[in-house]
Formats: sequence, structure tokens, C-alpha cells
Amino acid sequence: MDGKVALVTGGASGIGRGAALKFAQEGARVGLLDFNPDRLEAAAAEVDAAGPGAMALQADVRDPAALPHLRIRGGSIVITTSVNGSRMYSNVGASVYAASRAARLALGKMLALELARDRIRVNVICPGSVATNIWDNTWVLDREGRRVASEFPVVVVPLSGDKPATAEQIANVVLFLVPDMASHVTGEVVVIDGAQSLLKG
Amino acid sequence: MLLEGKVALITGAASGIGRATALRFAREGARVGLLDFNPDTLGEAASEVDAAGPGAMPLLADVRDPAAMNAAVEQLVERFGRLDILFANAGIAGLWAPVGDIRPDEFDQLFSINVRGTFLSVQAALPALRVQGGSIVITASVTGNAMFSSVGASVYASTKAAQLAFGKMLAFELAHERIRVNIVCPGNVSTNILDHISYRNMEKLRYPVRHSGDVPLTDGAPATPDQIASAVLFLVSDEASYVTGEALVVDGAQSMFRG
Ligand SMILES: NC(=O)c1ccc[n+]([C@@H]2O[C@H](COP(=O)([O-])OP(=O)(O)OC[C@H]3O[C@@H](n4cnc5c(N)ncnc54)[C@H](O)[C@@H]3O)[C@@H](O)[C@H]2O)c1
Ligand SMILES: NC(=O)c1ccc[n+]([C@@H]2O[C@H](COP(=O)([O-])OP(=O)(O)OC[C@H]3O[C@@H](n4cnc5c(N)ncnc54)[C@H](O)[C@@H]3O)[C@@H](O)[C@H]2O)c1
Repeated sequence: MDGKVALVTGGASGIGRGAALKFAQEGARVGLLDFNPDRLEAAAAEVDAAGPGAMALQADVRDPAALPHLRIRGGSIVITTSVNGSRMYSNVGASVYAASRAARLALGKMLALELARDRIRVNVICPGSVATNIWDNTWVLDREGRRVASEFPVVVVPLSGDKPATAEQIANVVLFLVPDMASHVTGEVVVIDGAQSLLKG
Repeated sequence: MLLEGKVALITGAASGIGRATALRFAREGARVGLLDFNPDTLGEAASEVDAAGPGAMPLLADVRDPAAMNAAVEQLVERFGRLDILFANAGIAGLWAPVGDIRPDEFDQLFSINVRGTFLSVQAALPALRVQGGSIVITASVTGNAMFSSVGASVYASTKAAQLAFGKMLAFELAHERIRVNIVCPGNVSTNILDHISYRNMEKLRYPVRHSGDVPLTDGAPATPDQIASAVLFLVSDEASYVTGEALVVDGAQSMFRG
């Protein structure tokens, strides 16, 4: 990724932080965008030390005015969605999360065609379970008296004997999709789940 | 008759697919609540459906408004005594434009009618559906689920994908309460949906938006709303008593022709 500049949203933690680090190690300058100021500084410093340059951008992705305005002239976009809403529908209680994930998948595919003539590739990744800080921002309402649908076996990831992916394992796939290695790949959805969604739908 | 003794709630029932489905349900013996936010067309649709079956009731409400949705379901249950079927169908095509030219409020409008509206319809109907079990059908689309080539419709497509995932999640979540949830994915249908669509800067998109003759089954002709209603009727009826979590594509093979 020599000479490239990348923007990573959610760059302060988990998958985003892992991808930012990979990009830097491959020679990209990286903007890490996040709304969590504490983690952001540490992540940017780590990424800066690993490559040719990093920049902390504190912003909320919901606020269009706060986001840097990019005019991408050719390039590559990767959108993180999930196996939830694309291959797995059994996480009861996550109906709205799954809907939001499916929306992102469709957005990515629509934009792959819309932006193809501008030489912008758009791909989508669907991680299964990944060891990140995502549970810090996930609320589970355990409503009293609510009947539970079924008891599932504990989440089983066949490929790793139950271990979730590391953020780095996800970042490796992002790294393949972003630079020229994947120069003819666009509108594609890559599932990275150690066969989790083949076992549990 | 497939729906004798059943009570159905249909959103977006004053026009197009919703109205055709209300009529079919009535002819199959169901009493139908027709919910829509357009007062001009709702009254006439409800009288037509009332004349075709055992009873119909207009429910003027906006699917974005939780209080109005709860009140509508209450009125319907008070009048007809129960609720067996929800057809969450209200939707708009919104604005079609290059992704860079869509304002955040325009994005929000599409999501609030198509996705939040579906969510609120389900929430409002659920207590009544739980009483004896029932069936939910959600209108999504081939766009966003099987077809991605309607350039300019990136936000609309995203709402339709969200609706499908939401429906599949609920199929599992509600299965043990004997509530089936299915999704219908129409291709082109001749309804009034295009009257309310707006386009901006479409000339900037360097792909043709419309393909011609791209529905193999009909040499390009769109479906009638009644052809979609047939699929919905099947899904809500006991003919489909073991079908849940299914996304039924009704598109004359259009999504085989066009990606
Ligand atoms: N961890 C998993 O098991 C898993 C599985 C599938 C998909 N994902 C997806 O991966 C993506 C990254 O999640 P993660 O697991 O690395 O979680 P994480 O919580 O470790 O990291 C997410 C980062 O995004 C930031 N963020 C959240 N909301 C923001 C906002 N409004 N504006 C700016 N920054 C914001 C947070 O501050 C955090 O630093 C998410 O889209 C998530 O849905 C995660
Ligand atoms: N027509 C097509 O080609 C086509 C294809 C695929 C999917 N669909 C979907 O079918 C569904 C029905 O559309 P249609 O084609 O029959 O369109 P239509 O415009 O003929 O009917 C839609 C009805 O929904 C109502 N409605 C819209 N917003 C509402 C709101 N906020 N609250 C209450 N009612 C509201 C409208 O007043 C209208 O009566 C939509 O979800 C649409 O996305 C249509």
C-alpha cells in the first residue's frame, strides 16, 4: 500500500484498529476516525509508530458535518457488516442489528455498480465472532418471564475449536480487498467466520 | 375460502399491492383493517374491500408514529375481536440519486418509512398476534436482495435488505409463539409507487437506469398488484402452515436477467 492514504472509521478499537495497523505496516498513511477520544489517541500513536504516518480524527459517523469530505479519485471501499443479517438469523434479540447489517450489505453492492465507472471498488466483509470491544457497547435486555425460543449449543466456531477470530484475522482480509491485489474484485461479499454460519444459521 | 374467520391488518392498503391484497383477503373471507396515511384514497379502498367480504375498516395512521400504530391496532381488535395476520407493506421508493447527492434527511425519510415503519407495525400487532398465533408478511423487494443494478437506488435497496433481514430474524424469534414471518420480494409491479418517487442528477450516473424487456416471463411487462397479492395470500394462509423465514421472489425471472 505504498503511497496510499486510507481512512478507517471505528479506527480506535477492534477490527478498525487492526486494519489501520495492517495498512500502516504495508506503507499506507492512515486516518483513524472514531468518536471515543481515549482509545483514539492510543490507537493513532500505535499506528503512527508502525508506518509512514497516522492521524487521529475525532468525529461521530452520524454527523455529516464532522466527517472529512473525501473526493476519492479511484480507489477502494470496504464496508464491515456481519454474518448476522446475511447468513445467520438465529441471534434472537438482534433483529434491528441484523437489519442494519443487511442494509450495509445492500448499500455496498449498489455502490459497487454505481461507482465502478469512477474506478472505485466496493466490497463487503461479514465477520463471525471476533474478539473486540464490541460488547462494551451492546446492551442485552433480559426481559423477565419472556419465553426463550430454544437453547442452542454455545457458539461453536468449527475452524478454531470455538475461539473467536482476532481483529487481525479480519484485517488480513480487508488488506487483500483494499489494494491492487484485488483489482478486479468489486461488489463481493467475503464471509470470515471459521464456518460458524454453516453450523448455526 | 382460505381466510374464513381471520382478521388481517394491511399497511399501505390504500393503493397498489396493499389494496390488491386487501381485496383478495376479503374475498377469501377475512375481515380487513386497511391502514394508510393518505386520507384521499383510503376511504374508497376500504369501501371497495368492505363490499367484497365480511368487513373492512379504514385506519388512518402513519407507520412512523408508534402511538398512532398502537391506537389503530386497538381499534381494529375492538371492532373485529382479534388479529391473525399482519401484512407490513407500506413503503416508498423515495429519492433516487447519485450517492454523493443524497442528503442525510432524505436517507432518514426512506429508512423511517420502510424500516422503522415495518418495525413499529410489528410491535403494534404483536400483542394481538400472540393471543392465538398468526402470520406476518413483509414487502421487501428484489432490489437490495436479488438485484443491485438500479443505479441511484442505493438507499431504497438498503431499506429493502434491512426489511428482509428483520423478517428472517423474527421468523426465528417468534416461531415458538406460532407466529410465522415471511417476506415477499416483488420485481416491477404496476402501482402508484413511481408517482411519489423523485429523481435528482440521474444524468450523472453513467448507466442506464431502465433496461427494456428485462422481465423474461412477460417480455418486460410489470406484474399486476394482484399477482403479488396471490403470493401474499398463499404465505398468510394455512396452505403455508410450515413456511416461515422464507423470502419469496415474484419477479417473472427479472433478477435472473438483471443482476
Ligand atoms: N466483534 C464481532 O464479533 C463482530 C462481528 C461481525 C461484525 N462486526 C462489526 O465490525 C465492526 C467493528 O466492530 P468491532 O467488533 O471492532 O467493535 P469495537 O467496539 O471494538 O470497535 C468499534 C469502534 O467504533 C467506534 N464507533 C462506534 N460508534 C461510532 C460513531 N458513531 N462514530 C465514530 N466511531 C464510532 C467505537 O468507539 C469503537 O472504537 C462493526 O461494524 C461491527 O458491527 C463485529
Ligand atoms: N411497485 C413496485 O414495482 C414494487 C416493487 C418491489 C417492492 N415494492 C414495495 O411494495 C410496497 C407497496 O408499494 P406499492 O408499489 O403498492 O406502492 P403504492 O404507492 O401504490 O402504495 C403504497 C401505499 O403506502 C402508503 N404509505 C406510504 N407511506 C406511508 C406511511 N408513512 N404510513 C402509512 N402509509 C404509507 C401510501 O399512501 C400508498 O397508499 C412498498 O413497500 C414497495 O417498496 C413495490
